[in-house]
Amino acid sequence: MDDPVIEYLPEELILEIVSRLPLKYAVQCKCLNKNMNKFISDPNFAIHHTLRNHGTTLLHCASFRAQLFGKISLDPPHTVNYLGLGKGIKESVVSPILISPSTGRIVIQFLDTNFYCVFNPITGAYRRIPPSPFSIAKPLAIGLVDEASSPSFKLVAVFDVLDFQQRSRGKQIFKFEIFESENNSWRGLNCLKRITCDSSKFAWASDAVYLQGRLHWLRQSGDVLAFDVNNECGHLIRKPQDIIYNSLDDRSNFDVRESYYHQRQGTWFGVDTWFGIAQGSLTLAIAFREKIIIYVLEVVDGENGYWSWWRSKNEFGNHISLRDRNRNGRPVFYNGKTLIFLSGDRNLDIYEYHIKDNIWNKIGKLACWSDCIRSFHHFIPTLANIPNSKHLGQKPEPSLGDILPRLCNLRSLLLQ
Amino acid sequence: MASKGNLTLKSCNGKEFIVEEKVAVMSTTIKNMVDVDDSFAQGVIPIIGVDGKILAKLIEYCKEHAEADEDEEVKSEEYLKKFDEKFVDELNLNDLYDLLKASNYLEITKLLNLLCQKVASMIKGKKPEEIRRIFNIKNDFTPEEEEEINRQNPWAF
Repeated sequence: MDDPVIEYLPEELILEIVSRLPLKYAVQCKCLNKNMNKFISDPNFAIHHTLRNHGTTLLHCASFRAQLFGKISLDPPHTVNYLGLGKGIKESVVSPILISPSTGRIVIQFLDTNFYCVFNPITGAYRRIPPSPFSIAKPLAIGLVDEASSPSFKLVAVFDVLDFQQRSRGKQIFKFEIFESENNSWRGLNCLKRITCDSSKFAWASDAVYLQGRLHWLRQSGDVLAFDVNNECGHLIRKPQDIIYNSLDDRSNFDVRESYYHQRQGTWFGVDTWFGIAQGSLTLAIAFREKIIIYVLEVVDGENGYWSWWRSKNEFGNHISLRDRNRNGRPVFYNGKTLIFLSGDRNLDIYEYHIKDNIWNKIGKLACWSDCIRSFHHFIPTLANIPNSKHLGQKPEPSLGDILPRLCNLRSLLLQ
Repeated sequence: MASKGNLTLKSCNGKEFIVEEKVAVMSTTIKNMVDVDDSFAQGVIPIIGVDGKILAKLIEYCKEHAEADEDEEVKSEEYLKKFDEKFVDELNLNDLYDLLKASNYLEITKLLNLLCQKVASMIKGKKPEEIRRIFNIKNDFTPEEEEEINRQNPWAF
């Protein structure tokens, strides 16, 4: 084998070979040279690599009793695994988490210690982010700004500004604060950047979505709060025009498009909605009584800012509630080709809908956990670095003793 | 001229091989050529950049697998597995690389998989310096940069 004159292999073949290595050995190849490092750090590599081993994964966070995480494998054989975050851990100490769609980094807020953790479960790297020093209150929502091409990241926190005059008019004022990984500090934005809008809570089960320089949060009213990271200003994207909002108090304008949950429970936008990125666009998949409608955000950048509006792109029959009018459910994953749909009250059936072939398959069952809100996150395994991070294998700071076992458990669940 | 059902493949150094069509179309590239243009099926198909020695190896591999696809009884899965093992074990590194490039160009997916797996097992767990030698890669990191990468992924090193 020791041939002195070795011909060059084209890079694509070296990459084919490296992606067949177990993850640990593949990561060792990062130090071969700069090109390899760049390639192996790219999310495409991990996806390519992971598809061979793991497939598409949804992470279920039981957010009422926060110690429970579930891993749902969407590729055959479909499996559902659950893992507690450790015995003796108090309830509700971990907030619903969010996962970056571009780098697979996970942001977890530990409510008992009030700081954030940016975590890559694949590499085990984590970084502790202190709470913002400017606000005593907890933020209403946070979002992660990161891109596959750069190791740095930002956290954007949304705070409510107390203003009784506005509140009495049903209005709400938001302000933003930004954490930058490079400076390791929070920055409060000046008052002019505040935004006033109609009062609404944020949708429970939806991640903040970062796309093309803007962070987006879905609100229960159906509109989306967007934050432009470059200009550091917020604005509102209105909900799709053809959706009629009905609460329990307002049955008068009942419509087939009325959402099942709106009518039955008087709850709001987001409960029966998936919000995320599909085929490169910001997308809403909303389950109505008879149909599931896919909306795509159209964006036009102009000199004086940008315009955006929801366009209904696709719709298909809601097989679940058409068959049994007492059943409905919600989409929890959509990628343009398949839609994952949960249905049921006690035990949740997991359905997979193939859009092109118009086929519904039942692929599994979720046991009913006592969580009031079930949030599901698409987990994307990558080897993305977290700058200035520590590693789970290293000796922890004393203050982190309580947190690390939870991260370790989450990691072992996802690496299973 | 090949008889009906056979194709003639010509290596870059002029060697000609007459093979059954079912063997040749294990290569997606050749299959596409034959599907698109009938004249290829009659005449000689030039295999650019692949010499006679490597082409003979490719044909040996494709023949076994095409026959196995056709008749599972004579050539069982177990037989194929043994054949594959022996096939890659007998290659030296240069031949391995030439075959890799050829199977990539000719899109013989099964063989490409086998060869990639083989090289992967060769480099698995080796020191970076050894892997660089195997791939003939130059290290363009400064020692500090290399140290930084090790530091970022301590679990892997």
